[in-house]
Amino acid sequence: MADRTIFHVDVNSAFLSWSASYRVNILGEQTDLRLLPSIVGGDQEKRHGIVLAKSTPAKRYGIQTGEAIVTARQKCPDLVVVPPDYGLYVNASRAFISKLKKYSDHVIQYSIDEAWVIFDGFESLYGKGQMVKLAYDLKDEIKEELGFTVNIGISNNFLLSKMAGDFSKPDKVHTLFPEEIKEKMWPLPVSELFFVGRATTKKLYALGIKTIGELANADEAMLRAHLKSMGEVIQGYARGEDLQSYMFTHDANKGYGNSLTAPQDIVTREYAGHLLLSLCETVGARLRTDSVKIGVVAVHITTNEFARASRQMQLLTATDVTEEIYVAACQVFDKLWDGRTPIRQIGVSTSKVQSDSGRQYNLFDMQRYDKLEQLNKTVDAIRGRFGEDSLMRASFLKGNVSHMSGGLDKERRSGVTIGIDVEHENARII
Amino acid sequence: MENAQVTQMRPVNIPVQMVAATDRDGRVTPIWFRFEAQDHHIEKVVVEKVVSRDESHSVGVREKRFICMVMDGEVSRLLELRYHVENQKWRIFQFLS
Repeated sequence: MADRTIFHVDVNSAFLSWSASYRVNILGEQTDLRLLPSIVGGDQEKRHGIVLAKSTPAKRYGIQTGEAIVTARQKCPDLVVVPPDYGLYVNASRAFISKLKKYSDHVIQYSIDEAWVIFDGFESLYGKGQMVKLAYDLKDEIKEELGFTVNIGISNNFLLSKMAGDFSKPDKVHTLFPEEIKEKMWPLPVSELFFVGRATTKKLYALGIKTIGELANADEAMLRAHLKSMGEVIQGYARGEDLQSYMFTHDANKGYGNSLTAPQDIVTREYAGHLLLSLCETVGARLRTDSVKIGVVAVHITTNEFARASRQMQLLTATDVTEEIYVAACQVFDKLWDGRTPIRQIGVSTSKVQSDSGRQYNLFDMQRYDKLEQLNKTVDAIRGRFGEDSLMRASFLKGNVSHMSGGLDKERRSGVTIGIDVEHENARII
Repeated sequence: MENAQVTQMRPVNIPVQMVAATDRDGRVTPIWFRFEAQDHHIEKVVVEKVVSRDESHSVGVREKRFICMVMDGEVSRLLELRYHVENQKWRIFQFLS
């Protein structure tokens, strides 16, 4: 374990770079979006109008990922806005990861545009200097053959290599070995540390801790008193301790959820139920694809004032049946919603995942969901052969609600982007 | 092909119907193709010679590129054809002369 080199490879402005590279290299366009103030923006009509990715020139206008396109345009009137192309992004991501796998068999993908590459035992073969050269070779190979730039952070553990990758961008290789922590990492503001977000930064500032170095050297007891176990964890990171392996457990999904932003605010129970059914349809299909059942159903909503609330319930029997999840979701929703406040975003999430084990019958199973299990599987098979839209519930025939909502483009819902619900704008480890 | 665009070698990306041959090693060679010209009539073009070949994998998109010589009446012209491997579509990428 000691003799280990880890690269953290991160695509610079992934969505923007990929769209830009596609336009220049495949379509042959003259203008390269990366050289102009430009963003990849969600669909303003459907009220997904936020910045998904920005170019380096756009950063100079103070445009931030996640802000509304309207405000971004105010900051930069000449801003170029392009729509996202998820099919392209998934393909680009696959090619990116394949490239990494050429260099080492141990690649841990963290998101659609980031991965760690582990080199065990290489250092004694090649030495540190050679590992750095290897990083430059990898970076250049990706630039040359795939047409986009990456940042590579090098260290002997996951945390430090990720921190190193963030030092300065784009198209750079940085090292952050333990002996370099004092010099390179400690002077940085504490908000740059992995896992430290806005709320934690505020608390640390209040304690007089502004840099990572100050956090590393802060009194342990005081930190624990104010920030509990989280304080201990981030202090460990500041001192160069590594991430725990639970951070990467993507193997068994801990939950399956889908959410959407409603095209119009939800004000009727009927409309809410409609959207819930559509979300449950997607969740159910995903559960059955992975052959798992869930035991807890939760619903979360965001109001038009951006207040959030959620509620969950445990099921008597674990299930993968859409109808059963829907009934539970409705029950939860009715307890959650006051019936009046307009809702903007709604989501269904499920947890307590169990691998497909038979159904435990119970006395209260009035609805004979067991019969529906077979029906659901048949529906999946038909959709698999003839397309998702070949079969839908009658209530979706009229109206503009998609019968299976949430998640990425239908064509590309394939498991590469575990946990990234891009329509919902946040990366979430689902 | 008198009406075909030659606007200073800008990419045109015109979709074509292509007849191509594949040899035992999987090497693809375009033979002749048809496309809709500017005034909506269908133009058939025979590939006289494949001058150069290239393959690219930009942004995860696999493409085969062919610079081909074709006859336009008496005049020989060069153009670049591209074959998108995954969705199996051929297009005229640009005219080179």
